[in-house]
Amino acid sequence: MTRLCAGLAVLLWAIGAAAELVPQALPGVDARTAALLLSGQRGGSIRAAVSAGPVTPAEGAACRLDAWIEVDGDSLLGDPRSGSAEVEVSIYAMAAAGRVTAFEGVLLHLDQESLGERLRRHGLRLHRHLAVPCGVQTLRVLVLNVATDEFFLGEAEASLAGEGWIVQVLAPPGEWVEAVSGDLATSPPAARPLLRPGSVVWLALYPPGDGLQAIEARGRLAGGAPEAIATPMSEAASSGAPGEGRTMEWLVPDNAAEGSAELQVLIAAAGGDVVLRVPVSVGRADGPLTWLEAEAQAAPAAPPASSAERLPSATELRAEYLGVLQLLTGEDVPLALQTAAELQRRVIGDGNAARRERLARTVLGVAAEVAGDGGRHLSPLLWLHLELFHHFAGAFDHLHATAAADHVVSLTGLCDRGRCSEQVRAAAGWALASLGGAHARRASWQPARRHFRRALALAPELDEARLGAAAVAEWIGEYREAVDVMRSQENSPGAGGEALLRLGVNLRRLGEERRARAVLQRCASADAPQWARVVALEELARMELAAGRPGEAVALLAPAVGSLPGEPSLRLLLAHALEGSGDMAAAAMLLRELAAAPGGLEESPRLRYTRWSEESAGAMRRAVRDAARPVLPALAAVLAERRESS
Amino acid sequence: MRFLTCLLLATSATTDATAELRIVSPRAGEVVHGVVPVEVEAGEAAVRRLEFYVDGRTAGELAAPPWTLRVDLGEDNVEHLIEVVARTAGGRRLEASVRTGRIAVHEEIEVTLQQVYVTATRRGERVLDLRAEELELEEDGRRQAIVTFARGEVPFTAVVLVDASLSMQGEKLAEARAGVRAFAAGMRPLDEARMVVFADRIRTATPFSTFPEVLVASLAGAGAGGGTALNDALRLAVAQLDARQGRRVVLLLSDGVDSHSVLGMAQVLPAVRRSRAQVYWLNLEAGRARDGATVRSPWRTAAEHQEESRLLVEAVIASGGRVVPAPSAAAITAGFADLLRELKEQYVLGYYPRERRRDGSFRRIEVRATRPGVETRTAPGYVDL
Repeated sequence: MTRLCAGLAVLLWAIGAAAELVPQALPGVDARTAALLLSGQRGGSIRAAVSAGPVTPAEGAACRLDAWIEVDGDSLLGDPRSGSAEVEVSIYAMAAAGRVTAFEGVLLHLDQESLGERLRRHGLRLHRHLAVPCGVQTLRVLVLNVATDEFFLGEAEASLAGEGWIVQVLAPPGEWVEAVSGDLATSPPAARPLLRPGSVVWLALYPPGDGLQAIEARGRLAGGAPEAIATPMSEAASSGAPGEGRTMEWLVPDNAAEGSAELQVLIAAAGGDVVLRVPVSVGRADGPLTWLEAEAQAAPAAPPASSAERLPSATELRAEYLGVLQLLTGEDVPLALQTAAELQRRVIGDGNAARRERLARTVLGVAAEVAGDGGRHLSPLLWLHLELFHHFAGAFDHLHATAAADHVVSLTGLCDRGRCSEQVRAAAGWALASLGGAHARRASWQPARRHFRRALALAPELDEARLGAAAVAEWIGEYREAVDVMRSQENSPGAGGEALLRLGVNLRRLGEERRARAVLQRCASADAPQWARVVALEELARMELAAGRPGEAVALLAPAVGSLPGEPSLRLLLAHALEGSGDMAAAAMLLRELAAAPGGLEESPRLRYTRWSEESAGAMRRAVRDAARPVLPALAAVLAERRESS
Repeated sequence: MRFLTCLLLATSATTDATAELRIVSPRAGEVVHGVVPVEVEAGEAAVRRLEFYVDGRTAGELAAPPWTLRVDLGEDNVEHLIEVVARTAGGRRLEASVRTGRIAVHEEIEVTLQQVYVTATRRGERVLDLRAEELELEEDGRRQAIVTFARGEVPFTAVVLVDASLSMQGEKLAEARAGVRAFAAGMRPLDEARMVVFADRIRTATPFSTFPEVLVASLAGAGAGGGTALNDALRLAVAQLDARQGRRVVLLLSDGVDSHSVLGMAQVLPAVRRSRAQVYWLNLEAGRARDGATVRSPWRTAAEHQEESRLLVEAVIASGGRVVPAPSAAAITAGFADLLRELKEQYVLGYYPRERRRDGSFRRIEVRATRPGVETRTAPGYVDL
């Protein structure tokens, strides 16, 4: 059973239990997600918090672990014109020694029109429950805005109910946009409890053992001034079932001071006295109910305490960044990269927006200073930040990879409105195509789409960007967009085989059969890579079969099978077409031959079609490097001039 | 068809050089069927390439001795024309041919015994002690007399399709190996199987074998990678079984998301209906049904993916098989064991249909158990061919 707000759809896209997961061994988006979740990183630019219920007995040998994720709605919403916003939420449960015991991936579709306002005001609360082995678990959660690639990484500990005392402050009802899965009778724990003076707060108390012992509980707030005396808690309800909590009520003192505090629960029980502690915030008596609403009402925050490093001043930062560029122009590229990476880590910390902004402004400011006429000195900077992106992405450091990618994109912005020479625009296009390819490889379709399209805007003749943009558009089901991207190739005598193929396949999807056939026929007979010719022939044959013309398909495929004998897909289609033509014996023989000759380990043409070429990925990176190297002496001279003048 | 005709014309031309090339086996007039070795003697000729044709179609070629190629002649009692064409180092073309024989019959009597495979359950547990008289069989609504009745002892021929695409990486493929091993070890001496490992194309396939070692070896080095061409693999599996006799089974282990086939499931479904093979699907992503699933691929929209999954389930049901949910990798071995047990516990009923039309029409079959509370599962019918 799933309880949802109207306008919200939840799709489960991955589920597992007791699986040993190795990030490098997982495919596509799973690999990135796993790596992020297992990296131990926390933070990100989406405001969210995670809480976990205790691990409680369930049916069979497994236990149940409830997870709640509270997310700031503003950071999930995108362009209101796009209708729906997509958010991926991945949840891992891990036992001691880092063993993954359960995982779940959820894709949320948020209807911006119906939910936007409520999301902005109150946020989203998602509940999932996982089957886990009985024992202490750590929940790790990744919330990813699919459109922007912004994310949140969080963690919560879950103890085994019955093994010791556990206390949790329960969340007030709130007005969340809510998605709750499964039967859920009790209130969830608050991920970041916010108490209001003079109001009742409810707590869930899980005693050790069978939980039935008589207890006396009192509460007090410590850490906030003034120090309060402990006041009694009363028991509101208890099911008495093993593993289920006892709900306690406590009146927050009228004089509780605003700010961070610790709620201490003092328990007197037969086994002895116990003090349990929960970090809380105290708000205003008439203030908001949840931490998200409280933060939304507060003034823009200063950099949080979690970014422990001191934020360098703008002048200091500029000097350090110029130092990195000097290393680069001195051709000590590894040291320049290492220094730049350290600088970025130190400045951005755990992803605080203000810190990111300051570094971005520094990079862009220096770039504008040194760019020169037609942006001729920009290529080395593009190269530096592109390499930083690949460095961080390779280490599954999503936070810093995203920041590095942002720097590349903002540098290419200096070329807008024709301010750069054709050469520099080409370098910017290569850098963006490289970013697009890297995002496409990780199934980050929306960022990939943006990068490829921007690459094409700067360098319209960049075939690699065009192919990438079309491939990504197909992945997200935007077939018209794929056609639009490729339209210029339709009547171009020099159009490449892959371009013709993508154009033809998407024209067919849009029902434009005549144009599709013409383009696919050009591809099949052109000097195209074999995989592209095979897919073109497949699609032409499928068109004939779909139109009820198996004889035409046989006429097309029989010679193709002769000229491309190693392609089982063409033989399979020929067999199908022969069957359709009534030649069952010939079809049966062909099928038996096919079955007797496995296709081996090579990538099939249809699989090759689904990705951007690896060769292009390498070529784009090399092209940026090759564009940057000749410019380094000139950039060095500019940097030297600035040193002397300062 | 023009291509095939040209091929036939080319290979039927004779030259004086045929004396130097001889097909040693099979001999002219010999009755052969199934997979047979075609053995050629080249004498002193310096053969660089030897092409084999069966009934005018390419069967394979060899570039070095021994000049023996195994070809599949099918199971029908028909003559075959086997031709070989050699190209020598000196550029000569040598040819030889034999025509195999067929079993001579004075009168052809059509034996039309139809076999129906039935699984009987009561409250989810299989019922193993039904007697023939406790079962009723109807074809197109007309009661049929059950003339043969057996349980489990009828051997089967299986094609085990193991999905080794990227989504099977890690524990899933390891469990698949364990499951296949257990399945192969549990087969009886007359059961035989062929293991096929597929991803976006067929990767490896064993011959049909009764030996567990042969079957398991196919998976030993199999790593996960690539896309999923489930429809294509299923179509080929059915074709392989069409050439076999007796009880035929396809066991499919996959997450069921086809992303790279050239055939749609709508094109495979008729072949499954025509075939007498039972298709069982060990569905590795059964858990997705909880909240619905979203699948993206460049070849299909989400709605098309859902339709493909629906049609796969339809094919399974139409074959008389079933979908076995395996919500986690840990359930794979148990799933294989359950399927093997089901095959061993299946009832096999035989009857003579009142009329055979052989017109491709669908003949509806219904099997009922008269014992209270017992439910039966079988293919809903067959295509009369």
